[in-house]
Amino acid sequence: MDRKLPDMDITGWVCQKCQSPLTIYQVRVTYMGASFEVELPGCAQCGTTMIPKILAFGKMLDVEKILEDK
Amino acid sequence: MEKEVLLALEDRCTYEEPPACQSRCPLHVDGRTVARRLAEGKLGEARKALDRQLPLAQLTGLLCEGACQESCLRHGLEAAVNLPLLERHVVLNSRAVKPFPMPATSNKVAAIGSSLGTLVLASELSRKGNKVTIYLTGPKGGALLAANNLIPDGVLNETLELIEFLGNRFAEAPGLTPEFLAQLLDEFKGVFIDQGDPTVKAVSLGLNPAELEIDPTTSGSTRERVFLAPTAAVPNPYLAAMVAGKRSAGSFDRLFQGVKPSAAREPERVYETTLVVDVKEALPAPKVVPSDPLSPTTEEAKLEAERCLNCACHSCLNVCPYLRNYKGYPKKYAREMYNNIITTYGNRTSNILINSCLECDLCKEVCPNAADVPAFIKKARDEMVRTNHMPASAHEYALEDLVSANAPDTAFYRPPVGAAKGERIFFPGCQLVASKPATVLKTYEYLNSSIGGVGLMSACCGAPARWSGRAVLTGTITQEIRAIYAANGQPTFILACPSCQLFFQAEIPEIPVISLWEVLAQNPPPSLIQSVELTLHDPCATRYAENIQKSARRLLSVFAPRFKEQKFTGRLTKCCGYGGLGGSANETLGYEIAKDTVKDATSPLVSYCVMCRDRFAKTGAKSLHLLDVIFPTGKLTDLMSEPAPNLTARRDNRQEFKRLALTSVWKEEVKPMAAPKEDIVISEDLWAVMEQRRVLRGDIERVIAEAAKNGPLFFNQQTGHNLASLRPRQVTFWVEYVIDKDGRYVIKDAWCHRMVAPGTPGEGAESPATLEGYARTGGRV
Repeated sequence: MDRKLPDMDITGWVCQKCQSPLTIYQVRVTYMGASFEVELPGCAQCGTTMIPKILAFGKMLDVEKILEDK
Repeated sequence: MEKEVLLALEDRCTYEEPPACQSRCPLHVDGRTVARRLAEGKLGEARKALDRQLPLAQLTGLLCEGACQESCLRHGLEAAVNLPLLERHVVLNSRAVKPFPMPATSNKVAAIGSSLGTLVLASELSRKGNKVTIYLTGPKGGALLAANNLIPDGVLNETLELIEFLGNRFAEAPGLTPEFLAQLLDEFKGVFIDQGDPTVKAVSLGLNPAELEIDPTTSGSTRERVFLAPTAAVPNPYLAAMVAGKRSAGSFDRLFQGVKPSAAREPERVYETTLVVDVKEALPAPKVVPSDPLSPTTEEAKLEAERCLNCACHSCLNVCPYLRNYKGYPKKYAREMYNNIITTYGNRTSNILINSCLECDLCKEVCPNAADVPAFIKKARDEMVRTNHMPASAHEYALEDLVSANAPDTAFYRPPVGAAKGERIFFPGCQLVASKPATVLKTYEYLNSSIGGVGLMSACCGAPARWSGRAVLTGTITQEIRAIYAANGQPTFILACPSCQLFFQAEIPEIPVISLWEVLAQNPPPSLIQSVELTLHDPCATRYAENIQKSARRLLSVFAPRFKEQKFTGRLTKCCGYGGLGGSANETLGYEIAKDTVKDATSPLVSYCVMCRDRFAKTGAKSLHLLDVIFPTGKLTDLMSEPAPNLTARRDNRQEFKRLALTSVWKEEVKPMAAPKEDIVISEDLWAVMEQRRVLRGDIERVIAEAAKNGPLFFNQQTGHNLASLRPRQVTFWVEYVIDKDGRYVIKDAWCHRMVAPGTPGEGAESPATLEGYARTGGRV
């Protein structure tokens, strides 16, 4: 699977708790018992991850469907 | 899933069966494809189709007498499609692909005579490198020399040259004697005697009349290793010669491999196809008379080809957009779905195929063999759930809705006012209550005042659990309904929803049920005659419930006498896209199906299933529920234009119905429903988006409550937007919002997904759509 995700505009977003700007880094996501690493925006300090809308209805939905059909 | 289930469905779908012309052709030429390709103007493709079955088509295509003609379905209308004419046209106007000689094997055969049978035999055998020595008893070509009216100049010579080019050899026969035959049988693996050649006399070779009986399967004589082509005195002599050449080639092939010539010849037989073709709607097409009967023009050939009915069974595909959607047909789907079920490794690519079916039975109704796709689908879904391979996303929302409809704040049962139990229970169904709470209450009040002794039960019957293959959940819900039935003196259930009725009859058959429409038709309320013209749509769940369909018509003829029938009506009615939760698993297709069902209506629709009504409304069609006509809560013209309530409103309506009924009928004190949080502002546009994404106001409220308590997860310094998230169950919700000057949460966007990413509050919570989740909602009706 292509782990590069579409360009995500994270301009201006900061982590509410740490007040640090979001960066894009490798995150382990899981669904239906399968887990894998993808690049997602999030707070590098506390590890809270953001799933932007473009992902939720794009790539992430595709992957969910693939995993459901496994 | 047992293989028998697959085979039973496969057997009934005749889509792959050949057309009659092909099954009745002794060479099984695919006349349908030849005609279709010609009609499309694809001469090369037509030639390929011909070459596949017709040996030495450059010659045989000019000579075929057309044994298929009597079986052509046009034969019964005007006149059979003139396939021999089409074959001639193809052969005369296209070139054969010249075969390449194959490396010679040691298998050698002798043929006596050089007419059509021998040439076909040699052409067939040399495809595998087996060579024929052709002994001439007269001029090369035998009877074909006399067919110069049918065979243009040069074609015979070219064919004879091709036969030699392929490695076969011509030799002079020393004279036809029994000794000659014996010598050939010594020297060769077998001998073919071409009696179609007028210079060949088989009796001279010592064969007695009994030995000249030709076995139709092998083309063999009773003498071992001797094969025959018939004389020209038989009917359709050219075709008989081609068949003899081809069958004998097959027999020799078997001899070479040490197998009996009669082994495995079943597929070559002439037979009656089981393909069922509906010619009712075939447009008349008179036979084309070509200006030159032996050489039609391209235009004449095309016109004649267009007369072909392209025999095929499309009965189910013609009526069901779901079956058309995956570009196949039931037999193919059955194999795909079966493979999907038994897959142990790799992707289950047919999940969506299995889950998109509406289980409405229309395909079974129109199928000439009653192939039962929905029954297969039901088994497939059960199996997927049983083996834990049902995709959660397919039915989760519908099941959550079921759980919500049966939760204590929504579901209830009350006996008639002042009685401990009643003779009847009115069970409107969860979707009717969700769409039209005020109308349902009016209906209940009427039932009680007219026939009396009617209790009221608001709950989901469990049909969505059944549709989604959840056998255990189905059993739990039906047990709860049984308990109410037993504890209340075994009342009759009056059902408004045809899907509830199907479900009760299948899953809880001991409970007596009657349709609301029958009750109302027998006890009609005072009528307000509506002058508007309506188109009646029968819900698909009433396909086999003629009594309900009749009652609906009786009611309409009183209340809106100017009603018309849908194009597809009664037993042939179409589904709105809700049935079987097809539209839940595949929303896009479900929407297309609703559009397909409304497209033939010429006036506002009226259905007696509220899901039809609401789904039609979503396509923009004007539509009513039959109760709107009988107990209108406003002007009919307004009601028919009302949008379907959104998902949030549906849940609110069910709660509101409980409150309304208990306070107004049973005079109970009920806490008013928790009002929507005024400090959350959702725009009209966002409501539409939320509906698509199946995000409810309640979901947003929960995320905001979490954010109000612990703060949002993210904040945008440029836009001032906050982003909060919560995973209350198997779905994670995200809400983007700002807080305005009055402290209100103005929602900018909301979305959801199933994948779990680190850091979301509520991570890992289980789904309420599981049985455990259902039990947890507790203490129902």
